[in-house]
Amino acid sequence: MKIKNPKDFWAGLMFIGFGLFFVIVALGTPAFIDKLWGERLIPGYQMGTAVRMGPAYFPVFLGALLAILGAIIFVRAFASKLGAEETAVHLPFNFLDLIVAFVVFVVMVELAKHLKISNDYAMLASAVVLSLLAILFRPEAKALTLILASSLAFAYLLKPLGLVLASAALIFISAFGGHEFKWKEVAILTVALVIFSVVVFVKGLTLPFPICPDFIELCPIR
Amino acid sequence: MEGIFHNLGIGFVEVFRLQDITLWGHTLSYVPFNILMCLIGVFLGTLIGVLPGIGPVATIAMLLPVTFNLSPVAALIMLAGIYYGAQYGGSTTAILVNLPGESSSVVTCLDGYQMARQGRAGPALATAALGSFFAGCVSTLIVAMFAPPLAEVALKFGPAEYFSLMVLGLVSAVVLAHGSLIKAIAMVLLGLLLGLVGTDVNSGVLRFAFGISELADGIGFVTVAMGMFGICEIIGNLEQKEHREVFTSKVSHLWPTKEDWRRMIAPVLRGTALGSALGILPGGGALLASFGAYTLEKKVSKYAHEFGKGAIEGVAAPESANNAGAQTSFIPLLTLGIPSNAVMALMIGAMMIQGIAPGPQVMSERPQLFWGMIASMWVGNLMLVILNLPLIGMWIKLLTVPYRILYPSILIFMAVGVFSISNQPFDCFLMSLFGLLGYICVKLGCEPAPLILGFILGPLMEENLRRAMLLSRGDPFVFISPTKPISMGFLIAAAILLAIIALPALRAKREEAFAAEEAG
Amino acid sequence: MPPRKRAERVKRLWLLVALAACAGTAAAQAWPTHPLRLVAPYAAGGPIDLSARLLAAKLQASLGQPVVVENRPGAGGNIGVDLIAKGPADGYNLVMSAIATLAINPSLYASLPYDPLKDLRHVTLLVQVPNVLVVRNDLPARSVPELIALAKGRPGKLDFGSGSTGSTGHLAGEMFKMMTGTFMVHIPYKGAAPALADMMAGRIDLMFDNLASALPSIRAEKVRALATTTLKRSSFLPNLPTLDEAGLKGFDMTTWWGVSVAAKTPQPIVDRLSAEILKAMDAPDFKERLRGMGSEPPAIRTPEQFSAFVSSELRVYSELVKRSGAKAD
Repeated sequence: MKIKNPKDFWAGLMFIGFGLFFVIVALGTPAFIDKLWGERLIPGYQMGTAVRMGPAYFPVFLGALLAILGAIIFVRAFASKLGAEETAVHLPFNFLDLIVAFVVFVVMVELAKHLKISNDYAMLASAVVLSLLAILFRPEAKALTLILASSLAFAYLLKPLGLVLASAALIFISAFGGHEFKWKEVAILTVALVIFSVVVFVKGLTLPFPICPDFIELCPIR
Repeated sequence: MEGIFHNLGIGFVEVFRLQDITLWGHTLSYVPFNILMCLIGVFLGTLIGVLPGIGPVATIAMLLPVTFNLSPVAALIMLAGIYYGAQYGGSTTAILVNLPGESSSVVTCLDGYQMARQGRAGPALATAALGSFFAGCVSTLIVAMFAPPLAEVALKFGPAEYFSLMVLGLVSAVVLAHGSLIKAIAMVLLGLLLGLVGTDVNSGVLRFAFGISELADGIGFVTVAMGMFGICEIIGNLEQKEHREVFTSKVSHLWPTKEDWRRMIAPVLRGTALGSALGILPGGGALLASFGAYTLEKKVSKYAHEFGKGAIEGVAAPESANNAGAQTSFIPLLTLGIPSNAVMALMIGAMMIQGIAPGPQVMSERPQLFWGMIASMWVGNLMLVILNLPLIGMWIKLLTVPYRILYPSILIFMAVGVFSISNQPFDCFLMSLFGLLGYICVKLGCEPAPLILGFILGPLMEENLRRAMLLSRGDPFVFISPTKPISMGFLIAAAILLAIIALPALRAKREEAFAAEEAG
Repeated sequence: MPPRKRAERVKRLWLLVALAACAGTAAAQAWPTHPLRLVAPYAAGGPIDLSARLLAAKLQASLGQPVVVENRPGAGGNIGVDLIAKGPADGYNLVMSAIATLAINPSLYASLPYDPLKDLRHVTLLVQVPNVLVVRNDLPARSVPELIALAKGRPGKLDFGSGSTGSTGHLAGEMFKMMTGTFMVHIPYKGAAPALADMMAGRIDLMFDNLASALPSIRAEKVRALATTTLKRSSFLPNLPTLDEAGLKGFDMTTWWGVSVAAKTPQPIVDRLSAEILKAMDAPDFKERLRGMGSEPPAIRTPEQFSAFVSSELRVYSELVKRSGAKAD
């Protein structure tokens, strides 16, 4: 059986995956898996009755429906009559890469727990590692990875390093993900955006952001 | 009838009233203070509406202490101005950069952004502004004339009616997509499920949070919208093989053409009607208005094939609807003292701090406040049009900036906005996750818009379904019972709409099958 | 050790203690030297957030340092309170703690990341609002005894609404059911406003709502008030009997909130904070604004009284939550 429609194939799998995920988390793992695992793997929520619907009722119903639709889409992928151009999937990474990314995050979080440092550093480290991996091995995914990494960098650098440095990180990393990277241009853009942000967000809207890192004293706000 | 003019007269007199103000020790006489407050409010509202991620709720909350020293009328006029000003600003970002400032601007992104990419940002923005202005005027009049009876109608909406309305809304959400029908339904379902993450209202149980305390109150709309619309769009643009500018430099007109004007009129009228009707419903009415209007337009317009690619009706209808809805959502507040959304809840807070008990008696005990607010809504809309139309030229200039400079700026605003939701990095992480999800979905031929609408409606639907079942003690036929004609009506409409949608798709499949048979 | 040397040592020790005390008071007197943070563990706009902003404005004026209100919503307020409980105990980090986060959530949630008595120091009780038992206008019950009779005659037929599972409105209803031996169905809503709206429309029969949100509807005669939940009558509705008077002896429930800091905050700073907050509360305009929320100045003033109050409330609500079977997560 040839996969006539890769888009539907993967979309169907994705929907089946999501649907099953919600059903299992809401219902809990079935008994035979619990026996294998030794204890209740996923507790699940109460179903309740139609009168007093429990928290699991709606999610299970919807999740099951989603999984069924996913299955229909999946099966359709083998019988599709659409042209190859419309159905080809152009993802710059494959499934394995997603698993690698997940593993990187988990490893970093565990490492942070082990070293007793904040989770934030784990997220930053993961972003850095994944960006480097993408640049080296998956140049097609450069834009995707760097844009995502830039917003992670901003978020996790804001508290420790302040608005100025976090914004600079975001702008530099995201600019790197673009087509061209001109140092002077990016630097000027950084300065302009930082000034704008400080004036509008911190001074104007009084958002409680630190502007400078803790070790620099000459900042107007903590 | 004379009563209305008399009351509107009171209102306008109050709005234009000249007062003596004491500023830093100097007393200025004959200052039209309330108008000034209105201007400040709409200006601020537009500004924060344009900044993605930062919404009127946060701004109004921050400005509450300022209102302590103002008179109640001035305070409420300013806060109201922020609210509907944000609607105008939100549509600006939706059109220019595909970022919905408010949940009701999601639909404007669909066609407005496409129009901008085709060099028609000017007509799109003008349509949005003028449509909103018209809708604002009409709905203000409706508020003035029919506030009390409309409030009574709103009270008739119980959980069963809301649920049925949302089912109708969901079916409409499917219409929004222009690709595969079944994938659109799947995206809606996925959105519904994602909306359930968080604390369950009815039982208090924390669902799908996996011990992450930041998820205890669910995933925020802003996070999902920024991720799936904003980040996804930026990445998509950066991935274009040929280094083509996102916004074509060939800007055709700054103003709608004669053809545009002709095509705008009916959608604006329909959108206004729908928006005014749905806005009075506390709890999600104004939201449904914008994409209900879009769906309606798509179904009745003879340019339906253009929807999703830059049809002007796709901007005119939802924009009118959401502004009409914004005005009429004041009705439950002003007549019954019930807030329709988080912003109204803040206004109630502002009123209470001023010592005014919100409720039905406000209209009779404080006519200047009531009618002054209504008159200020009209004045505010006028100010917004006057403010926004000249700005169109500026926005167009902004779009000519090379994309490599534009997109980091957009990213900063998004990141700041999302971070400020709860001052935690976690929300930005979620935004990135949703960006990834949106990216994958688009590559797989699934559209993000139905997911977002499912996301907004999901928790509301469940809450109302369970509450309706609780109240009816488990009778599932309560939704179509003859004692609830409104609920039955919505469900029948949903069924009809579903049939209308499904039939062409089915027919196309049959034709496909026939063609294949004949060929092979 | 030779006696002379020991005496010297003791003297030196006392000097050190005296110096430390001075340093403590000096620190307290120097405090505050930079902006303070007041965490409101709820979304912007609710009554707790509003009173936080009012307080922040007043404190800013009297302390001479900005007081920044930070919204940290989530988990019924637990996230924000935990942030301060585990944060620096330097007097610059305050939190709006409420009946939910201090007295109810410990029993409502299976596990709470903080201990309301051990991890927090309670500074001042800001607001105390009674709840009111309101019924819909068509309900054939004009007094509490009539309501009890009605409920007994129709077991399981009456619906009572509340702002959320585990809220004071919900628990007041459960307490009522337990004390009267009646059975009514609990209908949770997202906030008191939709519940009130449904009651006005006649879809639910009664609810226990806090005075501020119910008062306008009562005055406009959209709903009927039967009793208040405090031992003393409310000055806003002097003709309304209390549940205690109506036969439910000892029924005393209020919704309250105040300001807390981390447990290890130095005593001098706590005292100064308390004094400043009380000063703000005594200002006539502040009192006026809080009256707008249905609050009357609480009798509890000092940190010690507040702590004792929190302990007793915690005891009462642990019992109540357990017996009612209410649960979150």
